[in-house]
Amino acid sequence: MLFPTLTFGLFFLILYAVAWAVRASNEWRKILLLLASWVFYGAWDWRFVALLIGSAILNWGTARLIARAEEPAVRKALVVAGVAANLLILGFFKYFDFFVEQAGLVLAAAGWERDLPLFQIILPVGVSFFTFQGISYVVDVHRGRVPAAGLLDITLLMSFFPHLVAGPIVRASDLLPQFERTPRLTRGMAAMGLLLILWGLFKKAVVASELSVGLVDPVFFDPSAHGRLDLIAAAYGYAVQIYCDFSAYSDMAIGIAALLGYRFPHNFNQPYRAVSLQDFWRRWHISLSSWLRDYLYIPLGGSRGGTLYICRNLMITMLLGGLWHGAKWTFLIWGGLHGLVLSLERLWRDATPESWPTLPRPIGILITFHIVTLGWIFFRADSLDTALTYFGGLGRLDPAMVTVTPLAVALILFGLAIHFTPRHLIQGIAFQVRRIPAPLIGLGVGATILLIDAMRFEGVAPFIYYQF
Amino acid sequence: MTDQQQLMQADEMLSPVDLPGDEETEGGLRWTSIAIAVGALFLLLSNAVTIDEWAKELPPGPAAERLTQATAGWVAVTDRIGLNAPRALVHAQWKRGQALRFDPAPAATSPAPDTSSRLR
Repeated sequence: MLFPTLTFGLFFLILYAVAWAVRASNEWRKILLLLASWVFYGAWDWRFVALLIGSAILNWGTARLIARAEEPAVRKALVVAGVAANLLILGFFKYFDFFVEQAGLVLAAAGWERDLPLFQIILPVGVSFFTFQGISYVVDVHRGRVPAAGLLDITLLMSFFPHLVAGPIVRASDLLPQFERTPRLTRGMAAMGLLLILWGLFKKAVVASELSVGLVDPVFFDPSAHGRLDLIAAAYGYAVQIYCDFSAYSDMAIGIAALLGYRFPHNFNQPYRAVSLQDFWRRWHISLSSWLRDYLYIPLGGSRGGTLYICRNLMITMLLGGLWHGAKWTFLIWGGLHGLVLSLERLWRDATPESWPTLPRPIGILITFHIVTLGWIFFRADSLDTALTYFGGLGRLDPAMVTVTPLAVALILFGLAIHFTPRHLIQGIAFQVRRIPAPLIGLGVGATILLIDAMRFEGVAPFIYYQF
Repeated sequence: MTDQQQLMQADEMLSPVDLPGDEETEGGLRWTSIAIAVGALFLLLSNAVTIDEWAKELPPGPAAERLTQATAGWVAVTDRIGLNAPRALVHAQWKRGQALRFDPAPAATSPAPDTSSRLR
């Protein structure tokens, strides 16, 4: 079930009405939200629901045992076992076939050609998100940051449909306290929720879909058939598409949760206005980058120690961050590129005196954006060969036909321009919206959805981050 | 303190949906429910075409067939009144924008990837 579809719209209308109708009992309300989340997730494949429930029980049980254990060694063993079990789930579904394939290649190169068993495993939607959520929960219980919660709350935390398949990675410390009491819906929350849903709908259904179908997909499908102009436009186009696609999901998830009375954290903050790659990672997929910082980078040693030690930690974190997206060499290279540039930034900062002038802001933004866009080519390419063909084509001077259209160029420029609007533009609008009578807001919401529907591409493709 | 100043102060708050001073607003649920109901009614009246297209894509069966007949009838009714005209007008303009090309010669692009998984 995809957010920008009529099926989801009807699902949400019914859920909204029933969830608020039963608000007298918070426990029943949570049970209802849990069942609705399973219906939402089961629309892909009912077998995945069993995995989700199993994963929730695993994390609930581990956290309970950690909370009861008094010996530090036992607590540590339990948290290690809990993290390992989550990684095992993730590893089996996401990486098993990849590593078997690579092992087969290594054996073949060594003259030991063998037919290794490939399971052709179906990847459960959102498995990377809910396993990371499970890991952070057991680690936080071990660290004493959150108390071990009840089974209903943990299952709902991991299953709650707005964030289930593509984040934000909402941590237990963010959501569990909200589950303890019946939520309240204020006008401001609702105004922000409605605005975020509309803004997300526009970014996904109009900008991302149009760029995907009209430019990016055909060019990346066969880069050798396109000239330099198309390749450059598709690279910029993908930078805008992935931002509009992924941030749209986050915006809609935050908005939908808000209309049900829950608050999700920020996930994007105008990432293409970042002045450095470090700044970029404070603005892009904030819930993942802060997760990697808290549960990987800092445990590895973080910024304590010498420059080379820090660079090593950055490289490991970004390589694993790349691998989190999928079992492909292109994701590893993408992560490696980010790790390398982050390390170079660190080396530069440590090697230069503070009195040296820093790069002018616009130049920093321009350089960072182009490094990120370069990385997106690896990220988007189906294989390493496709990525290399793409880069080869960028140097080609043949006057091939042009796929890029004026509309695509306009959408690319729009997608970049929105990064330079005031930081709190939507909140500022929400301040005004909450003061307007509800029937007028309803007409405005309806008219905006009608406008978006008239502009959107026929049908809606799944969100890019569903595959992760 | 101005709205913008309050927002700057709230920058580090938990969620983007938390607006400073929002605790004072009353009747949020009623306000939201009316807005959603009016919005849904507006779309039911003005976007019959999309509802009909959605119904046609449902898995075949007696219920789906009855629904398709009902949505097709609803399209005919709203067409007669002219309620579908605004959407059709915007859609036609958008299609015109999509058809614009830098190169006047028709582009022979490589085969487009399969988009059959798209949902309405």
